[in-house]
Amino acid sequence: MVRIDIDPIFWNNLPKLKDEKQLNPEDLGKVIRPLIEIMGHYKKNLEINPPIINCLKEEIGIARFTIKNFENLDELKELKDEITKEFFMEKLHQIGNKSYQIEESSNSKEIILIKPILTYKIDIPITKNGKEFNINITPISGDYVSFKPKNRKEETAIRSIFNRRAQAKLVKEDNIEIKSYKEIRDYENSFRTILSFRDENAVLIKSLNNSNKFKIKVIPNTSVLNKKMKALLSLIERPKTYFFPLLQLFQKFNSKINDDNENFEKIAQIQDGEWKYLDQMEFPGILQQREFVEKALNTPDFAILEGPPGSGKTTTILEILHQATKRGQKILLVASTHVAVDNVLEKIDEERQKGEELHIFPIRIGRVEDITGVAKNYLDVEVANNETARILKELKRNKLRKLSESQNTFMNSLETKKGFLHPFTLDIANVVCGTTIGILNFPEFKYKDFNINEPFDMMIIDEASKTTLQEFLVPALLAKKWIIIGDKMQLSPFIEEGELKALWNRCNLPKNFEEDHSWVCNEFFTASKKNIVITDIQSLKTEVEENISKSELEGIITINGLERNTNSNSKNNWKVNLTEIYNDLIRLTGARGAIIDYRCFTKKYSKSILNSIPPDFGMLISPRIENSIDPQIIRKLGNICEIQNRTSDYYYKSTREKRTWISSMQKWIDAVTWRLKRVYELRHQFEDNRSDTIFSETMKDLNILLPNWTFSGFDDFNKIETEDLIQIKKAMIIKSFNLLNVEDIKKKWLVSDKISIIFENKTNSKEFFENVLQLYKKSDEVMRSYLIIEIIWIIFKIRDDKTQREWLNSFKSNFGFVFEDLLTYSIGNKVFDTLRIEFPSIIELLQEGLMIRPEYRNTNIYNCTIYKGYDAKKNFWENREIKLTYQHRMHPDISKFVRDNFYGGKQVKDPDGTNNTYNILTEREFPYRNGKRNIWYHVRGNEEKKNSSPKNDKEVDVIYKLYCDFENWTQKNPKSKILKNSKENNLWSVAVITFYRGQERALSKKFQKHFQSIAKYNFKDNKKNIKVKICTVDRFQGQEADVVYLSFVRTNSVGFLDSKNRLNVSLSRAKFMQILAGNKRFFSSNKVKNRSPILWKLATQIPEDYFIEV
Amino acid sequence: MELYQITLRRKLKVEKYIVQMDLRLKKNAGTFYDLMKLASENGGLNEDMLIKRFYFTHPMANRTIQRCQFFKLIDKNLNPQNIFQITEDGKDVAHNGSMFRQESGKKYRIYLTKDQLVPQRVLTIQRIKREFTKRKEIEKRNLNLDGFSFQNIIVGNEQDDKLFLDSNEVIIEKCYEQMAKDNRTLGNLTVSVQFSPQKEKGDINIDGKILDKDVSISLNENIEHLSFNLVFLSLLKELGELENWDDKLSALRQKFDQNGEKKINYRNFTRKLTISEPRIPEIGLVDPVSFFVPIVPANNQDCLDWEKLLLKDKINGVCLQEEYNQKVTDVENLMYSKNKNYIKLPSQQEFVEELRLDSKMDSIYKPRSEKYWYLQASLTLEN
Repeated sequence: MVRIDIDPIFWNNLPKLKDEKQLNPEDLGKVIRPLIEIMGHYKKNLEINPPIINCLKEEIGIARFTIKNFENLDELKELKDEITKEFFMEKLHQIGNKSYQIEESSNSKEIILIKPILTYKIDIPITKNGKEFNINITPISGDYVSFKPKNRKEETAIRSIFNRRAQAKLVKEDNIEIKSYKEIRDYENSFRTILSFRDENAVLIKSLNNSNKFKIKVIPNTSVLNKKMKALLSLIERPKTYFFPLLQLFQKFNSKINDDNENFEKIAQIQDGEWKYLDQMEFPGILQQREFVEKALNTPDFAILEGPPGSGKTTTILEILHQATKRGQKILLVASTHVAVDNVLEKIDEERQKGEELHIFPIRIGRVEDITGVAKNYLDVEVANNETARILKELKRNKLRKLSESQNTFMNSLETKKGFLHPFTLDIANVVCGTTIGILNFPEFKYKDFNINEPFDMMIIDEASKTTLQEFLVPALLAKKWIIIGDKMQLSPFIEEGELKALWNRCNLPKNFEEDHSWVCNEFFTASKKNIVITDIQSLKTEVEENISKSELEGIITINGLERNTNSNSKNNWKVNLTEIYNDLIRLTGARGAIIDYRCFTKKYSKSILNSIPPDFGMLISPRIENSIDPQIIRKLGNICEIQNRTSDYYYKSTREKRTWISSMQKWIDAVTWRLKRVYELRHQFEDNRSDTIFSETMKDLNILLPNWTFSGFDDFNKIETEDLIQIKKAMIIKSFNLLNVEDIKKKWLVSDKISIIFENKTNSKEFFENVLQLYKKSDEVMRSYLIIEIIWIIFKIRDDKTQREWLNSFKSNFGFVFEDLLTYSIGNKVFDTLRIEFPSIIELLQEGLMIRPEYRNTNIYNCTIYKGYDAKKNFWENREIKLTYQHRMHPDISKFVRDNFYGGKQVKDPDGTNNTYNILTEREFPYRNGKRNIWYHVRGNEEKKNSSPKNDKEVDVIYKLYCDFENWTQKNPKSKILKNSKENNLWSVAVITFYRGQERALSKKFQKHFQSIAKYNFKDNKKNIKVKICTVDRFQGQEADVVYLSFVRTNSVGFLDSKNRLNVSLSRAKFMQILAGNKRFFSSNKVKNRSPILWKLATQIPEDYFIEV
Repeated sequence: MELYQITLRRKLKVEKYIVQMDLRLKKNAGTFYDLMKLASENGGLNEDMLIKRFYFTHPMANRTIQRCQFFKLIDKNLNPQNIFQITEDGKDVAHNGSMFRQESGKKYRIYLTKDQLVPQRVLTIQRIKREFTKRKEIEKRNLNLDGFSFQNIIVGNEQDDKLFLDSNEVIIEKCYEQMAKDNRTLGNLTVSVQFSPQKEKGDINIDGKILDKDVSISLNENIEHLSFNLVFLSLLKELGELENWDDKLSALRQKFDQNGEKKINYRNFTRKLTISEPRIPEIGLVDPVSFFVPIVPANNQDCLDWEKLLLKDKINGVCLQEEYNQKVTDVENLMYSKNKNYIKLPSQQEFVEELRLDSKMDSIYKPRSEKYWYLQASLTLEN
């Protein structure tokens, strides 16, 4: 368990609140503690049982090729474009006696895979345009090893190696128990990877001289998790003075202070001539952008920019950077994705190439392989090395003329001290960029425990809709104020399943939960899916009873036709009451399912009972009772079911093997975790206020799945009514039950006696509670819960309504603290409590608070931003937020659907050219396929599901055909020819996006073939004036393209396409034209209408003539 | 005159607090050293200079100027020659190669003392990495250390000592008000001041133990207002011997009493003075102190007795006339060198008579010694 030690020195030295009170660490702890605990559990879970995966050494050689005697870089690029797989094959065959085969590889163009292994260097001379070039092929030594994952778990483990989230270690022998670190070093060699081939699931490793087959252990890298934990811990344990505004988000305050006008002074005002990026007044919406820039510069704490797709967020960021650096400030620029950061750097680079932006000195922090394009040049190490080399060259050139003393010492230092300029470049950098976690590689943060000496003046976080609170806090602790930019209608943060599962460790589940208790939930859940579940209703009585009372409302019937046998001679204590069973069975018609006690099935009655159950109900036996039920009866039931053609295999089969049991338990956790994730993803459906949405269906499932035999709490203890006391009583019973041992039963009687004595003596409620409170303080934990049960019982017994109310009120005022204690105990609450914090993005949290969804409104809600969002401090936040309303990306035909369906017509407005302003319609004029901008191609394909991710080959073909058509057009029409006033280059950018990775791979293969390219997802053809990117929707957020092809893949079910956020991102990427490929019939069916009304709208509302059947 | 010295010692009262502070620490200046060298060559810096001499790019030069101004190494305003003038801090960097860097809001253990003997109030600062204070211990106190600069007195090589700030100079920018008193026992620190009449000024040494580690330092700053004489005379005054001090001879006028205190060494002309509770103006009470003071006879009779004692010491066998005369001159010379005065010793005949008389007096009470029987013998063998 993670220990949190709050250091009072730091807390006491913080500034005081407006009412002269000190900040309270407990308020922060309520939110932070669960997050830290989950991370702690997650880390522990990761470290237990690391997966072991089989590997195979393959006869494949890796070689690097280099081109010599080229004159300039353009020439080199041109040559590289021409070198294809076929080219190599041909040349290699010409030279060698051996027949070489080139394998496809996902890596950079300089690397090729050759079969069989190449052992010597090869030079290939080629002539092009009358010039001679030399291509050297040099083999790289090492073993090419591919991993063979057996299941999904292993697959994710391997992916984590490639993402450097895990480390691979060689397992020499099986069954060796390794205890100490020293032993690990003896038995497991670290796997030193030279090159990795992500898509081939393979790596090139240092030769091991091992047999061809061996195993590796995947040890997760928990350093990022550690960093996150450290950040959260330092926030709560040792807060610095500049954390004050961050801490205030969590601080409970009284509403009076809140009424103050929370405006801030405008110190920096930007004159008209000073604007650099926001200088074109004809753009509608520019005033909003300008206003935000000024707010960002002036705010003492926060500023929030909500910008829908294409509304000019990046331009606004550039202007803030420009204005702030001009004022000598240091800025930290972060985002959850690399692309978002690199986009900004690319723009800065463009300006710098023009000889402008002289006061911005940016540094990019991160790993080279994650960074794209020109942003690589801004990597901290690169900058230092390049500058050192350049300055040294200049100094040496001028050595002949005499150098001054300072120049000499400078030259000396540069030459002799390695990395001399690196700390200096970091020091003078005024814009430091990186991902929210990657930024921690900045040398000053790396070793300093978030205790940095010179905090940044400002932190800008882009794509904040993808950043969770815990992720935001990591870089936030390094800056003095925070500019948050994003759009809550775009994709939500990605949360790892493992982290969600760690939630269960936090719930204080009973020790035997996995063996017994969770089965109760599972039984009722399975029953709700049109099944009869045979189980034991008499054991685990409290849980079962609790479930019964609730599931009756959900249409799940409990058949318990048993009576206690009074005849003591009988072995069996229970007697079957057949008439009652039959009465219950009649109710089955129209029910969702049923639970039946296994004792009802005797040899005598089994057949007749089964015959009375409607044939559309499945029959299942819960593994919980596997040992109690007679195997003969199981066999008999199985046989009857077979005859009746009734599905009966689910639990029945799993009871045969013990192993499958454990895995089916896992399924319960998976089922819950998955649904919890879905509920969050579908949160916008809640607003539809309908009961037939997937959202409400999933909520229903969750209600049954989650253990609900503990107290699930209320908004406010003061509001509870007498009926609610039953809930509290039940929770107390469970609580005391968990603590129970034989001796405690005596205590129960003792408490009961004492209470009744007090009750008899005092008739006044005040006196009674005063005495009971004294008793409570003296009692131990078990006695305390009994005590509450007894009090509730006494309140219940009061007949007169008025006196009962009076007693209830004094109970509330005296025992409110017990209620709080119960809240922390209840399972359901703990789950939802944590999820509320775990899921939402920082921008959503600030705007709406933790209580966004009514199903989460179970716990105490405090008057603070984190709980209530903007509502808590209206004036404060309204003065700090700007919503951008105009979009500058999409053709009006494309933007219409996005505006109407995701933004309620309020945002994503089109600049329409009124009052001589910018008109997007004329800007996006485009003669290809006259006038058709938003086209749906009906594809009658079928989705295929291989492994995990589905694909749809027919859609691939259609998109490819459509693309080829477009490519033919672009070859004759370079972009600069069509768009006369454009400053852009000749290339049309095309994005082929899809929702599934499987489809992405299929598309990539097609396009790879088309471009004859070694690269997999990015293609470029200068002659055809086109560049293509293939990407999943989730990764494409924050990017745009001239033409977008979207493949829906799904033909049977909607899958996760029903997420409003995901759909929004997928439909708002195109500038000129958007082509949707999918099965139109399916998406306009009633099935889709129920599941995802927006998707259905998309399929039905686009004007008819825009559809073209393929 | 013989050299003698006085060492005053006393235990320091060290107060320990756990505080949050903003500091400025001297650290290696790195590239700023080269920049300041360039600036001192040209009397200042500007972007143009950086581009032409150090071949910086434009954005780099721009930021460099801003940073130099931030660290107050150059002026904020351009002078008439379009140069940002180098400041005193900047010159210091060019000279020493180190500059002050900020360190803000961290937690430290601070060792304070109020002893007049120690010129700095802050003895040392130790950085605390992760150690939690109890809520009860927190109190509000204003130490008034802002802007205080000091030399770190504890420097060690072992790992623990890395926690002590490793720079020579630290400036405290801000000391936060809420702090905790650190009640750990850390061992004693003793401060000692050495005075010697030749140097006339004290050197301050601090030695002792902190956390079982020997600490020994001498501070270069002298206590200027205290001189040897002041300390010495006040010690004599404490003993009630001030009126016996002969300023001209720099020695104490001592009555001769052969059977007196053992601490008086007539043969060496010194006397060990021990004071149990010495109190010195402006220093206060110090630990018990002992020192050797030169002594000379108080009057002529003492002087003669003293000389006779020295002479007796010298005669330890058969002594002929010539030898006797030689010994007498030696003693008289010695006395003169110390006392600038001497009394003429009696002739050999007179001295023998005197000794005989003495021994007769002695014989009434004592058994006769070997020396007595020797003296009974005739002076020359002929007689």
